[in-house]
Amino acid sequence: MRAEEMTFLALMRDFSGGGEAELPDGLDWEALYEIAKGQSLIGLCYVVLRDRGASSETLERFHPGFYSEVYHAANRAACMVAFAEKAAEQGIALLPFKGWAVKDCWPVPALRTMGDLDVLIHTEDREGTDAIMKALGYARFIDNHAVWTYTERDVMFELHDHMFYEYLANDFDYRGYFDHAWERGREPGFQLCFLLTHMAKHITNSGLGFRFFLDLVFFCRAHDTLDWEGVKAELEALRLRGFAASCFALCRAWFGYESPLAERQLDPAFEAFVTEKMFRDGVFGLKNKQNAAAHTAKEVKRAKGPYWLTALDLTRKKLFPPYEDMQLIPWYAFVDGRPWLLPAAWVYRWGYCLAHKRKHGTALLAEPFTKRETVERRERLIRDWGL
Amino acid sequence: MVLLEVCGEHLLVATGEARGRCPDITQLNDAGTQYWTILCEEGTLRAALDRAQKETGSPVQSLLPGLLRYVAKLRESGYLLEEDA
Repeated sequence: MRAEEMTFLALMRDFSGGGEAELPDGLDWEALYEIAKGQSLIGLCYVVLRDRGASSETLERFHPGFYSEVYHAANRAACMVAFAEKAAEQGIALLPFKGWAVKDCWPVPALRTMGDLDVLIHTEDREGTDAIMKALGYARFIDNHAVWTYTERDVMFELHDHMFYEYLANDFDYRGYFDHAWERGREPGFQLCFLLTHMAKHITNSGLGFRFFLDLVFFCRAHDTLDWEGVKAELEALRLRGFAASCFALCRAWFGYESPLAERQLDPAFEAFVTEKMFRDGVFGLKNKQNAAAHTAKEVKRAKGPYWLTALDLTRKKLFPPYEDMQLIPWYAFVDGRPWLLPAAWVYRWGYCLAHKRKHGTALLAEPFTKRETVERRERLIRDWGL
Repeated sequence: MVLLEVCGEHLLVATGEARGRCPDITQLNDAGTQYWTILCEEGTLRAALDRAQKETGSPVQSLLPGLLRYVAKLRESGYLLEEDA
């Protein structure tokens, strides 16, 4: 691990109360800044660096990031209040989740960065919330069943009518489970299970950064009277107990945070690999090419038959995606509610791919066969996480 | 517009309609923070001056130039509109 990465871990550990960070001589501050930026934690780093006596030159580099985070936090809050007031006037229930639900557990809520505001609504309130957002000056720019997105200047809302709508690398019905959010969404145990399921989704699909693990630490600190045995049982039912154990064991290794859920001793090789990957992934794992073939690996992990059969089935699905997937893609919106148009959407898709991305499309179709080693390595990583 | 205290720094943040009309964020010193708070709470320059006099015990003639300079700066940066001032 590079000195800048070790220092970054020390800064997070310091911020989470795990001991004062030392700032070694000769550090490449620009490299540290780039790490903090990649993890969306510049403000956190600024505050700890300032409190540990970093040079004014270093602080000047980080201070604008701190400003930016405070500015965005204040504006998100103002926009959320405006939306909630209008919704309340019309008797529309809202349940904010993800970052908004966890930020107040952070020692400094303004430093919990978030790209958007995720809010759960009832399906029947789609039109009502749409009218409110438009009246508040927001533009809707993605429209599918799963999530409607609204932007106004630098604030983005995502309005979901399901808290979770994907599957992980198993056949458990997470969507059905988290559809109980309206009854249980304010229970800390349920919220913690959601945080972990959301992390599992990112790890399965691509990757994630350290901020998610800080969420776990601060959330658990803020709810230290949780019924841990109950949470363990719930995680067991969700098939995430082993995964939670991995996450909290990493929190212990990185931040010195002890949790009753850290029921696992980390394999040093796994810890080193994951730590390194976390740095490369950035906050959502979108930058790292190592995450290629993640979708295929997830499907292989879910499948029960031999590899070649799963690979064939994946290629078939890529050529003939099911209606449930196609209706969610904005440019095939014409099939939404008209499943009989599915063959037309397939033909359009094949034609578009042949004309515009023939090489990429062919590579994607052949991926399960040409990248078998990558897929299997990725699948082993998912297993190592306990997923 | 909101005044926030984050990690020991007093920050004036433009929100809502104020965005684009004035700087996104400005750090205030202790005196600036006190004057901003008084101005917001009292609503008029006269009332703010009276309160500042009561709180600091300083005579109006010594407080007035500083407060006027401060208000002018706020107006110039777009933090105060004519009707606010």
